[in-house]
Amino acid sequence: MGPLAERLGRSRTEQRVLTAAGRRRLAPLFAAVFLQNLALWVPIEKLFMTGIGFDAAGVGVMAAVYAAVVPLFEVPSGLLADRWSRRGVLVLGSVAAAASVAIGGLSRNVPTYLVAAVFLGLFFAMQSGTVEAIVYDTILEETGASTAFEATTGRLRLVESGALVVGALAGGVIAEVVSLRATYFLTVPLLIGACLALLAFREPRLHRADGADESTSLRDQVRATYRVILQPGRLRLVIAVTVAGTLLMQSMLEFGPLWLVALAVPAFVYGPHWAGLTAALGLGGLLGARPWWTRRPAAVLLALMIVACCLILTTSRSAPVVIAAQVVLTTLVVAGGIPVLRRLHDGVPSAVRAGVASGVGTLTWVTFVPFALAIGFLSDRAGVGTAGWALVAIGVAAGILLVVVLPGAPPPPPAPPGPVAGEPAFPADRFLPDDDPAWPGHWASPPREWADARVDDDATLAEVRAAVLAMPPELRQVIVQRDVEGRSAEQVCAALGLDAADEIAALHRARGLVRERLEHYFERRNP
Amino acid sequence: MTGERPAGADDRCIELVELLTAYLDDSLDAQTRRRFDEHLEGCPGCRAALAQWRTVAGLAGRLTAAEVAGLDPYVRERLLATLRAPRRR
Repeated sequence: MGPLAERLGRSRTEQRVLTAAGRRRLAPLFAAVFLQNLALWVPIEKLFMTGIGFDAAGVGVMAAVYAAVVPLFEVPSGLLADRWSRRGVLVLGSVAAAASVAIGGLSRNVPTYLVAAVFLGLFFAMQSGTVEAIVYDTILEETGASTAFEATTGRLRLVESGALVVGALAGGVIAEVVSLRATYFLTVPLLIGACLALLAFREPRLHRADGADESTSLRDQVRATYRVILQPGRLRLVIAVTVAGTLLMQSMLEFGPLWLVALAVPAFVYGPHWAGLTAALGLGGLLGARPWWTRRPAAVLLALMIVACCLILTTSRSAPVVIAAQVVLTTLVVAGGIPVLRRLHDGVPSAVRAGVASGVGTLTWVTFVPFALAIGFLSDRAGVGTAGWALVAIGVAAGILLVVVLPGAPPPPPAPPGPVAGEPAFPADRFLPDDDPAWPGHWASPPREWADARVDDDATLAEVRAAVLAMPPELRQVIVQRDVEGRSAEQVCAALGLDAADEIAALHRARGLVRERLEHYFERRNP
Repeated sequence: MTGERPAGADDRCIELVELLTAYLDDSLDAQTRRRFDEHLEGCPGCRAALAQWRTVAGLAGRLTAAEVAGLDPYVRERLLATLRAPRRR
């Protein structure tokens, strides 16, 4: 390993809070995220769009264009980030966002604004997953552990929502005092500032050292992932409620301002309205973390309130009531979404967890496209109030599913996948069978010698690392303490409360798993 | 099947390979260890297995604790999912 591993080795203690040096290192990234989220144009976007000739159906088309671009480019931009540079992808994303607002601000008709929407989609595709990957790896490089991830992420979310609220309020004022277009043009220098801040950021290089699994069969992984998503049973309900909840939330963020347009609300209200929806995301997060939702009455109340909010949106003609209903609905949907997410992950094996989560995300986007078109079409033909009945339908479905899915203690987390200790070091078919006339139990297919030159490189070490990370925690902690940290058997037994036989069995199984992976790896590399 | 019938042929390779870790830890009793050594002299397959076991332990020793300090995948995924939730603006 290079200097990176030495850096990592230097501080082995786990830290809950990032060091001052680490915080200084992340400061440019935080600044960039703040500037990226300071989107002055967001609160008046729908008003501006109406001004350049969008009708409600056009808004639906734009939302659909946007919803199609993001999932299309999410995975490719993630691959680019890992292979090339995550910071580079974030810079490209900021450039795309700057292009989007510049084009949007210059737009005088629907097609040009749709081009702006495509660029915005590119920005979000590049942003999604990249920032958290950078934060995670920076913390790992700086502290040698990932313990500070939660605290750092908390600060990042605060920076993001703070920027959104400030941007929404400032945007409303600028729109009122200067013009709607000015909010777009004033956002451009903020995004250029974000690019400059990113260039001052020193990117973590951990993912370079960890390019291990590129060659494992992509097809098998994809197949296993879809099998989990499509398998019949309880997980389907959980996925359905996830999709329904996200539809409601996206509808508020995407179509919420349409109600204000329909009620002829003055422009300065759009800012606080957007700020309220943004704050609802944070408030919903706080609520969702509470332990109430496993009780049936709480789940029923949540469901009833969601349906009530949808009904109010459909029937009320009072602007304050409608705005309040939108904020409450968003809060409730986000709150309910968090325990649902827990149910989702309880039901998914960890080998395909990330894939299933992205699959559900993509499923939501795919559902949102026709839904957005339908809402837009309905609003156009019959008014936004009538389109609200589509919301009521989704709200009722989400409510029923919440009452079915949430109550009751969450099922115990799935047993650790596969064998723990006690499995054979080599599969039985490597040996002659018991009834072999000559040498029962002797090698049928003995292991090959590994030439020293072959095993002595970073790629091999990356395989070892991947094998250790992939094993169940009870095996991993033993091999880490014994072989990685070099502690004695007695120390490890004492530290983990194991007797000597269990400790050896666990270490044996753990080494066996590493050996197996290396054997496959060498066969792939040198058939 | 290759090679001749190894010395110590009473000991079955399939059972001895389960003692590799204890052998390297030097925690076998003297008699078992002696039989293991005798078997190794005559069995290239078990010698290769032992060498691989040493290689694995050696390679693991070249990792740092930080490189293998994985968050629990469930916890990590939940954290990432929380980050992803309000992805629109």
